[in-house]
Amino acid sequence: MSVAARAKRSSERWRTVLVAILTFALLAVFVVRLADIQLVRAEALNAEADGRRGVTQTIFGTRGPIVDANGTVLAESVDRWDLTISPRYTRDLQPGIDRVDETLTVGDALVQIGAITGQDPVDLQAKILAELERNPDSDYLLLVDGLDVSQFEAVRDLGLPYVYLRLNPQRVYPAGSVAGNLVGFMGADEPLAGIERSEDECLSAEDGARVFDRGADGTPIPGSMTTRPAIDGGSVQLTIDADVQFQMQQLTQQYTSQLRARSGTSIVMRADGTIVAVAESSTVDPNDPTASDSRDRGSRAFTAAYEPGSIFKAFSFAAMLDLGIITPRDELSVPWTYTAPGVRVRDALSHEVKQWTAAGILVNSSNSGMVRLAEPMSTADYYDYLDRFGFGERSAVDFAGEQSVALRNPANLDAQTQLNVLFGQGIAATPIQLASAYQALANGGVHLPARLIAGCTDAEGEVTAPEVGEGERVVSDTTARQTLEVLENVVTDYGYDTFPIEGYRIAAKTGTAQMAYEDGSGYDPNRMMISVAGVFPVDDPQFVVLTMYDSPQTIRTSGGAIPAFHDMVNLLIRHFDIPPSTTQQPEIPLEWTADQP
Amino acid sequence: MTSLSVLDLHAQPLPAPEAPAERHLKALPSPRVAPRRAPRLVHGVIALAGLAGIVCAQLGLSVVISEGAYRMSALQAESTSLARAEQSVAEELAVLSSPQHVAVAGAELGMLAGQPSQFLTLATTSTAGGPDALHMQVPAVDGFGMYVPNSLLTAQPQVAASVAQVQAATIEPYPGMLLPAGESAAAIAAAAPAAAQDVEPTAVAPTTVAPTTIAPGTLLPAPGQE
Repeated sequence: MSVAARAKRSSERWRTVLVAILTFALLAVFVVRLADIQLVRAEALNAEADGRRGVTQTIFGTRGPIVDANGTVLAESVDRWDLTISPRYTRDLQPGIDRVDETLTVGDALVQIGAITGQDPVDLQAKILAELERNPDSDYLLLVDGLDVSQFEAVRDLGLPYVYLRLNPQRVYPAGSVAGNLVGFMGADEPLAGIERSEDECLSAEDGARVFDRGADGTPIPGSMTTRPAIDGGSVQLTIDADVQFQMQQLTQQYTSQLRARSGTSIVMRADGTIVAVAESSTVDPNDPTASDSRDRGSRAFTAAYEPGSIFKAFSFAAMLDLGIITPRDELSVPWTYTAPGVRVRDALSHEVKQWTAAGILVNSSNSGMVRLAEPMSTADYYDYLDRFGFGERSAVDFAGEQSVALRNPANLDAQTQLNVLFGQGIAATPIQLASAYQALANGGVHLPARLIAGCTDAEGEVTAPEVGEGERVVSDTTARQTLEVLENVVTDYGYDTFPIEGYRIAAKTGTAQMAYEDGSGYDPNRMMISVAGVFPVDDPQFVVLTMYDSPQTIRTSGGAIPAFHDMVNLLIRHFDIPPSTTQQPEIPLEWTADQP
Repeated sequence: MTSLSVLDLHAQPLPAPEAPAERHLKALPSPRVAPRRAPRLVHGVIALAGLAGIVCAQLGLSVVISEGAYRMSALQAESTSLARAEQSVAEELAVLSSPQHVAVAGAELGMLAGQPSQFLTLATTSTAGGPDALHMQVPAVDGFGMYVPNSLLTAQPQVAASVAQVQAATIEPYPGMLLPAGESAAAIAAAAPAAAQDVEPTAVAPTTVAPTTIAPGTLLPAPGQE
C-alpha cells in the first residue's frame, strides 16, 4: 500500500469521526435544551406564557342575605366599584389618537367625574397632585369608592384610559337600624358584630376564577376557557318579624326619650322560645356603624347583665309553689321589715303590718313577705330551679359577645345574699335570660331554648335548621298556670290604670332594680333599672314581653315602664289579631281579715 | 471433492429418455402493453377543488367558531349589564319597602293606624272590640329626625324632604331664640320652602357640581402636561 493512499484513508476516517462527533454534540445540545425546556423550566415557562396570553379573572361570590321570618331583607350584598386612577398616565385625550371627538383635558374629565360622583373636581385634582408630589411614578390612586351601578356605567362610558374601575362588593342594610342590633355589621373585610359575625360560616361566599387566553382585543380564544364557579353564601333566616321589630324599636325609643333614660331594651318572644323582636335604644344603623356610640353597636339584651330586682320574684314564687311549700291562699301577717340574726330585709316603702296572702305578697312585691314565705325552702333547691329556668348559662341563641353569668355556688352565699336572691338582688341576669325564663311560665312550665335563627339555606337550596334542644320541665303545668294567675292581679290590682287592656288576660310583674356602681362598691342611689315582664293571653299564652329602662329621670319607679308595656302588648294584639280572652280571671284573695273573736 | 461426486460413483446409469418430453415451460407471447394514458385534467381539478374545499371549510369553521366566541362575549356582557340593572332596581325596592319608608310615606299621605279588629263571640252572640288606644303614639318622624334611623333613606329625595319639613316646622324661630352658630333665623325659615321644592324627583344630591359652572379646561390645569 502506498503512503499516499494510507494518508488519504486516514484523513477520510478522521473526517467521519469528526462529523459523527459534531452530530452527536449537536444532538446532545438539543436533547439538553429539550429537557431543560420541557422538564426543568416547564412550570416557569408555562406560567410566563399564560401571563402573556392567559387572563385570570376572579368571579366574586355573593355573601348571602339575612332575612326576617317573612323574607324581608335585612342585609344583602350589592356590587359597588372603586374608581382608581393611574396618576402618572393622566393626560389630555386627543382626537385621532384616542377615541374622542374633541380634546378632553384631565380637568374636563375630573369635572365630569365630579358631576357623576357628587364630588368637587378641585378636590379630586388636589388628590392626584398630592399623589404625584409624593411619588411622580405613582401608578395607583383610589380616587372615589362605592360607586353604584349607574355611576359605574356613567364613568365607564367616559372611556378614560387612565381610569380603572375595580369591583368591590359591599354590604347594605335596606331596613337601616331595624334589627341593626341583631344583624350586626361588616368591617372592611370581616364581620364585626351580630348575626353577620356569628353566622359567618353560612353567609360567606367562596370566590371562583375564570382562566382563559385572550385575543388582541380581549375576546377569549375559543376553547381556552376554564371556569371554577364561585359559590354564593347561604341565606340566614331569623325568627324576628321586621314590622314588629320596627314598632317595638319606635316605642322603646319614644319611651326612652320620654323617661329621659340612658337606654331602653324590649324583648318580644313567642311561647315556643322564638324571638320576635329585640328592640333597643339607641340602635346602631349598620349602614353607618361609626355614627353610633360604641356602646350602642351591640345588643344590650344579650351582653349587659344586671341585677333584675322584683321581676325575679315570679321565679321564687313559682319554685315555692312547685315545691309545695306555699299555696297562693296562704295567709301571713307581713311587717315591712324582716330581721333575723345577721340579716335584715326591708320593703321598698314602709307600711304597717299587712294581712296579705301569699298571692298578695307577690302582687304587692313585698321583700319581707317573700323572705317569710321562703323560710322552709333551701337555697340549694332554689338554685336548682334557677338553673332549670336557664340562669347561669348563655341562652341557646349564643349571640356574638353574649354574656353568661355563672350562678354562684349556693353553699358559699352569705345569709344576707341567700335572702336577697329571692327578690332578684345579689344575682345577675341578661334581659334575654329573663325573657327566656318567663317563656317557661308561658309554656306550661317547660323551658325551651331561646331561638333567633330559623335556619340557613345554602346556595343549592339545602336548609339547615339549628339544633333545638328538647326543652326542660322547670315547674309543673299547674304551678306555671297558678303563677300567671297570681301575676294577672299585678296588672289589675297594682294601682296603675295604664296597665290593663280590657278583655285581655295579661300577667306581668314590675321591677325597680337598684344598679350597682361599675366598680362594684355598692348600689348607686341615682341609678334605677325599671322594668316590666309579662305573658299574655293567660288563657292561652302566646307571647312574652319584657321592657326595661336604665336610669329614667322623669319617672323613677316601675310605673314609668308600665305604659310602655301596655303599648307593646297592645301593638302585638293588633299586629297578630289576637282575640279577646274568653275566660274570666279567677278570684284570688290578696288580703285576709282575721276572724274577730 | 464433493458429496455429489461420491454419489455419482455409485449411481446406476439411468435409462436414456426415449423421446424428448414436451416442454412444460414456454415463453408467453409478449403482452401487449397498453399505452400509458395521459392524466386527465378533470382529476387534477377534482383533487385541487377538494383541497380548496377542505381549506375553505376549515377557514369557515374557524370563522364561525370565533364568531360564536364574539357573540358569546357580547351576550355575556349584556347579561352582566342586565344583572347589574336588576340588582340596582332590587336594591332600590328593598330600601323603599323598609318599615321606615313605609311609615314616613304613610304619614306623608295623612294615613293613621287603623282600628283594631272586632271579634264575634258565638257563645254570647256579642262583638268584642280589640285593645284600647295606645298611651303614646308619636309619628315616625319628629323634630329630631327619624326615631328608627335609616341612612339609606336620606338619599331618597322625597323622604329627606319630608324629614326636613317636619324638622323645619318643629323649629319655628322666634325673636331671641338661641340658634346654632353660623345660622340665622332667616336661613332656618327658608329651609321649609327649600325642602318643599326638593320634593320634585328631579332634585339631585346637593353636593353635585354642575359642570356648566366651570368653563372647560380653564379651572383645572391638567397634571402631567408637557
